[in-house]
Order: sequence, then structure tokens, then C-alpha cells
Amino acid sequence: MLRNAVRLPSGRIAVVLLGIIFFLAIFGPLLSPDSPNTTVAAQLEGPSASHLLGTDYVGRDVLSRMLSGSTLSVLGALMVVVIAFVVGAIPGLLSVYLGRGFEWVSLRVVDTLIALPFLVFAVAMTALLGNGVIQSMFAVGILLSPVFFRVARSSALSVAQSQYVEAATLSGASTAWVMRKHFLAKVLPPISIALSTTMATGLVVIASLTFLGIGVQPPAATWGGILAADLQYIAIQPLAPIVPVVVILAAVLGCNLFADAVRDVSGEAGRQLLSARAARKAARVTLASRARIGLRKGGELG
Amino acid sequence: MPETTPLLNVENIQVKFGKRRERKQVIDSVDLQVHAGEIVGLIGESGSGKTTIARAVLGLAHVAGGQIRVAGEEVTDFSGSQWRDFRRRGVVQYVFQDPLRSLDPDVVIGDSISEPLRIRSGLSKDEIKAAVCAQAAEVRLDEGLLDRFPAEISGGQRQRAAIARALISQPKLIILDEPVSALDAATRVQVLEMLLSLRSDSVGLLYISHDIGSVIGITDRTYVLYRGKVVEHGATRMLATTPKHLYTRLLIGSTPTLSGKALDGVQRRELRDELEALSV
Amino acid sequence: MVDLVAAEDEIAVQVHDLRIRGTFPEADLVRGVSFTLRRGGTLGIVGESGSGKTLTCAAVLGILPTQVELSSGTVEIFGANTASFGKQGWVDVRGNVISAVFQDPGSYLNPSIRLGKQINEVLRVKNGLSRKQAKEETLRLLRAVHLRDPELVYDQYVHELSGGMLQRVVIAAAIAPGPKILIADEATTALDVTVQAEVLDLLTELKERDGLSLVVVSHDLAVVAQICDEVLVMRSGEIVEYGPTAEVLHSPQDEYTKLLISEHERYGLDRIFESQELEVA
Repeated sequence: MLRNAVRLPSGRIAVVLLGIIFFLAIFGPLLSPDSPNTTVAAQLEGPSASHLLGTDYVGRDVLSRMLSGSTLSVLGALMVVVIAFVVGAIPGLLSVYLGRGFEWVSLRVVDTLIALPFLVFAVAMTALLGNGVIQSMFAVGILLSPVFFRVARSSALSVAQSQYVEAATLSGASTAWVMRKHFLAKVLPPISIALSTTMATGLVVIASLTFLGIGVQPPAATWGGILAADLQYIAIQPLAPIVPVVVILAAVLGCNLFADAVRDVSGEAGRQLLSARAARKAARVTLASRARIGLRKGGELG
Repeated sequence: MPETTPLLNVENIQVKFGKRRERKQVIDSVDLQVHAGEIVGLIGESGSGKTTIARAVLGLAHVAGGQIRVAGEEVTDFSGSQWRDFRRRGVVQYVFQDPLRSLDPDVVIGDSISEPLRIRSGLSKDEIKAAVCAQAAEVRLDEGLLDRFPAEISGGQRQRAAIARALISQPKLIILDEPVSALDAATRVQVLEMLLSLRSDSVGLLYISHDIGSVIGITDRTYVLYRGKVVEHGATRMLATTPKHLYTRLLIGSTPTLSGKALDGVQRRELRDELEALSV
Repeated sequence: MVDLVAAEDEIAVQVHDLRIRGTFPEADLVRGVSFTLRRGGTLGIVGESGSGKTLTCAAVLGILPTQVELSSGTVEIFGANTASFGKQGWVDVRGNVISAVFQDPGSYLNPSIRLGKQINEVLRVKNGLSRKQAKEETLRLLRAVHLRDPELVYDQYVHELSGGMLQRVVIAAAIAPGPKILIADEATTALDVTVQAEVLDLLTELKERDGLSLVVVSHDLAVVAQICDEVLVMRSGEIVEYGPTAEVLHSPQDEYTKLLISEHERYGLDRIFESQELEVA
């Protein structure tokens, strides 16, 4: 599936963008030229050789702040994804196999979670659990788990009720076999899409919360925080607030493009797309080789 | 008719559907037998219960009463793991009506055909590949198609792949449920001919359909199912020429023929009214 | 307004060299189809999916889908060229002159409205009947299609009836405005064989009683052989055989027709009839 997704242009762009973002998240703090919290130069300067992205309203190097803030933003979003996946996908899968009682309870819990207003709940949970990013991300992860529940459940249901699984069962297949050979291939695409879009949501939520000043207190560097702090000075120095916006956009775009690429290569439509591309490629190869032969034979093709 | 142990012996089975208060008797006191070397037909209209009988024999439907013996072994009260072990022996196989649904769309044809063997394990990759090629040849499925997905081949080729999958474990009893109704005329004829060629001393076929035409074409004996009960059974030819039960007469008389010799509308309506009177 | 009913033409439908093209993807779907339906006659069209039979009927009814177009040829209904109809012309013609029933009756009825009311609507819009007159006529129609308890069915919903009963209701709705031509496109394909026989009986009865001209479309040659006096066999958008039923069955010209016939003779009740007479009564 991944191999196919990367064949598409959207998939390639996504991999590049996400690759950069993750690289920044892991190595960012190490690569920052200056300390993110100390004043190094004049305030609100434009880009220069020593400060590639300029400085913020206090005089700190924007590049360094962005780099050190990426860890928090990306890992926080990842945490949301992991929690949402664990809390959602596993019960979703089990709800198909554990019987009516568990199914009923899990469905009602999911209904409740969906009914809660998102950002308000996130803020409330933060107030309840304390002002830390971890707590907020935990709450957001739980709020986003219904997507994984639904995806896992609907994939498991359609596979469980399918005739090809019945055919395998009639040949003596165990549940483990059915899971490995039939279920996994079906659930991977929608789960991958859910993972990417939840990552995108997580990134936006973290940016929103840090923008509002919730969860992380200044002077800690976060993408949302940088935007919030420097936004009021946009008339004087637009670069400082625009940089975090561009980075967040790129990250979210990367996630969504990846989801698009996976969706385009999955299912019925996906198989048709891939075979159409293969056919076109084969036709191009044939034409190209014919042209080469023509050149060799005829000398010049005009 | 050879007096050997039947491959399939269904005795007086009852199948009920529904929850406690609304239990409906779907199969009522049905007896059915298939011997090796026979092709036995089971006809009935929608809702008659013919697919339910197949499912009961395969262990997919709970039987409330009676006995089912397959190749001499009683399977009526098998547990889940007993069924799994029994199924792995590959004694019974089933061909579904719609190969588009019974073949995993994300698995290539060759792997779908080999699945019963791979589930069993114990064979090497090469042995499995050889078996698949041999089976594909037997059902006249081109080897080049084995790497394709179900959506990439025709309906007739799909159904042949499904039959190859059913045959690969060398079953003794093969149950086919409407195997040709989703196919076009040319392919139908080919598949029916193929089914006839499966007849041998060691294999018995149970052919379930609502299409009297194909049942008459390939079966030796037929059971007629109406509202969960077997109302008539016997040599297929006799059933078609001299049906005895009201329902069989109505069924045969309603079947359109090229010679146009079915019953006329008035006769049919009379039969139907008599039938309704009986059931009420 | 297109006034066709007054004409005493012998020809109900005349199709001449009909060609239909798909626009996306591009394909020639119907390639030069010509046939004639006489007034009071029954024409059977036999073909499988992809043969072009349904598109041909759609052209005759003026309901070709958007991605498909009539590239050449003419369709005449009682002598009037349908190309000249325009939107209003078709509205006048459909129902009052030509009508159709298709394969899945449940999908042609509104699941949330009682069935009687749906037929009433046809009568009131097409025939200008009052509410009271429409109800009486609807009940008469439901009785005419041999529904056992018309008053009950009048108040029922789609989900309460079986496929065969629904098809009768749809036929009642189709003949309510008094058409002269009825097209039945695979109308019995999804029905059990005993119910199919009843619906075919009903169509024959309507033909004899009301002088309906019938077009019966099926993939089963035997269904068509049952009630049609002329047969047309289509394959890949072309007519491969056309003639009186007895002639086509007795001396088929085309390989495909021969295949269909031999299938019934090899794998059908006809095999039994080859040797002896049927004794059912």
C-alpha cells in the first residue's frame, strides 16, 4: 500500500514534507544556531546571515525558536494520534468479536464522545487535569478516538460478514488466519488515512492551544506561541509570525496529502487508477523504444 | 443406485430462526441423501430454505433437531474446533453463487485458489504452485490469469477460479449454490459441462438452484423444497415429466420453454389456489 | 401537443437504423438497430448485459442517460418522429401513449407513500381525474392486475409486499393512464419462476383485453418464446436475428441464437419435451 501511495505525486510531496517535519522534530533543538530563549540581537529584525528567519519581538532568533519548538508540536500531535488509535481502534475491533454487551456499551461511549464540543472540552480537560501539554493531548486523543473506533469497527464488520472470509472458514481457517490474510489488508488503508488526518488535527490543536497560551507557558518556544507573541507586530515585521504559519501549513498539508494518496490507491477505484497508470506507462515505454529503433534505423527523425 | 454409505445423509433436520418468542421454522423434517457418483439437485424458490440446508450441512447454521452425517461422520453437534479440524480435511467444499463476493478482491486469483491448501499447511511452496496450476488447467482457466485480481477477469473466469478453489483439496462432497445464475449464456454452458465432467466414483455433487432448466440438465435425482419441507423427490426426469405434488406441478408448469408447452394461466391459477388452501 | 391516439396506424413503434454512442468513455453502444412493432403485436428482445437492449428501449422512451446520445437513426411512435417531440411532447406521450416497467419494482415506487396514493397521483396528473374518481380507478386497476385484496394493498407500503406483488402494482401504475404500448424490460428477471409465469400471464391478458402492443425484453429466450410472436436477438449493440418466433426457433440463422436454443435443449425442460409430452394437469 505504501509503495503504491508513494508512486503518486501527492504521495511523494507528502513524504518529503513529513520527512522534513519529523526531521525537525527529532533534530531541531540540536540544530538551532542560538539558544531559543536568550536575546541575541535587535528586536524584529528581518532575515540576515546570522539570523536566517529574523528575530522576534524580544530579540530572540526565530529560527532557533522554531527548531526547538518543533519537538513539542510534533510529538504532541503524535501523542494524540497514538492515544486516539489505542483508545479507538482496539475497542472498535473487539466490538465486532466480543458479543452484544460489549458492542452496545462501546457504541454508546463513542456516541457520547462525538457529541461533546471539541475545543471547549479540550480546554475544560486542561483546566481539570492541570496546565500541561501532556494532559491536553491526552484529552484531545480521547476526543478523537471515535474516528479510529468507527474505522476499525466498520472494516472488521465488512470483513467478518464477507463471503470470502466465509469461504476461508469453510476451508478450516482460524480467526488468526482471517485476521492476517484478509483483515489486515482491508483495514490498513482507512486506518492510515485516519492516522494522517488525526495527525493533522493534532498539529492544529496543539498550535491552537499554544496560541491561546494554554498548556505551555511562555517563554517556552512553541509554533503557536511564536505566532501569538509576534502577531501584534505584524505591521513592523511580518516574517516572525508568518514563519510558524507556513510551517504548520506545510505539516498539515503533508498529512492530508498522504491521506489523499493512500485513499487514491485503495479500494476499487485505487486498483483501477494503478492499472490505468501502468497501462499508460507501458504505452510510453513502447513508444519510446519504437522511437529509438526508428532513430537507429532511419538515422534522423526530422 | 449403489447401496453404499451416502456421502451426505441428512435425517429429519429442523432449523429455526429468530429470537425466543418469534421463532420461525425454516426447515421442517427434511431428509436428503447424496451418494458418490451422483449429482443431486435441490430446487426451491426464494425463501424455500434451500440455502439454509446447505449452510446446515456446512456447519454455518444451527440445527435444532435431526442428524447430519458427512462421509460417515456425524457433524450435527460439532463444536467450533471440531468443525475447523473437519473442514481442514477438505472433505466438503462449497461454491458460492457470486464469485465477485466469494473471492477476496485484494488477493490474486492464484492465492485464492491455493488458500485451502495453505490453511492446512504442510505443503511446500512449489507443491502448492503445482497444485494450483493443475487445478487451473482442469477448469480450463488460463495460467496467466493466476496473477490477476478478481476485478480484472471475466465473470466466467471468476466462477471457474471459485470452482478450482473448491476442487483443490480433493473433496468428496461438493455443494454448489446457484453456480451459474450470475453468468452469461456461453459461460453457463461451459460451466455446466464442467460440472458434469466432475462426476466420478469418489465425488458427489449437491446442486442447489431455483432454475429448473439447469437442474434438469445435469442432475440424476432432485429434491423439491417448498416452505422448508421436501414435498417431492425422485429421479429428475420423472419429476419433470410426471410431477406428483401440487407445488412440483406448479413449478414445472410455470417454467418457460421454447416449445411453449407450459401450463396455461388458468391451470396455473387453479394449482396455486389449491396450494394456498393446503398451506392454510 | 402531440396527438397520436387518433391515428389508426398499423405500426405502433418503428425504429430505423438506430445508433447510440457513449460520450464518456467513447463507444458505439447500439449499431444500426431497426425493427417494427405492429399495433397489438408482441415483440421480444433477447440479449444479455452489454447487448444494447436496454439502451434501445431507453431511446424509444426518450430516457437516454446523459453520457449517451442518439447519433443517428429514427424512432417513430405511431408515425410521429420522436426527435420532434421536445420536453412537453415527451411528457404528453409518456404514460398516455407509451409506458414501461423495469426490473426492480421496489425502486420505482416511493417507499414512504402508500401505494394507492401513488397510483392516484398518476391518474390525477395524467388523466385529470378527481380524487374520488382516481381512487375508484386505482382499485379497479389493482383488481385488474389480479392482486388478491386490492383494498388492503391500496393502503400498504412498498416494504409490505413481495416482489411479484410489487411488480403488479407497478404494472397497474404503468397502464393507469391508458397507454397503447408497454415495454417490459427484464420485468420478470428478479422474480421466482412461478411468479414470473403469473406476471407474463398478466401481460398477455392486458394485451388481449386492452389491445396493448407489447415489447418484452429478457436475457432468457424461453421467456420471450412464451408470449411473443416476433423475436429480436441482440448482441454487442447489433441485431443478430429477427423474425417470427416460430421461425427463429425452428431455423435460427445466427450462432448466438443457436447457442441460446441449444442451451435450453441441452439444459432445460425442452430436453424432456423432445422425447415426450408433458403430463401435469
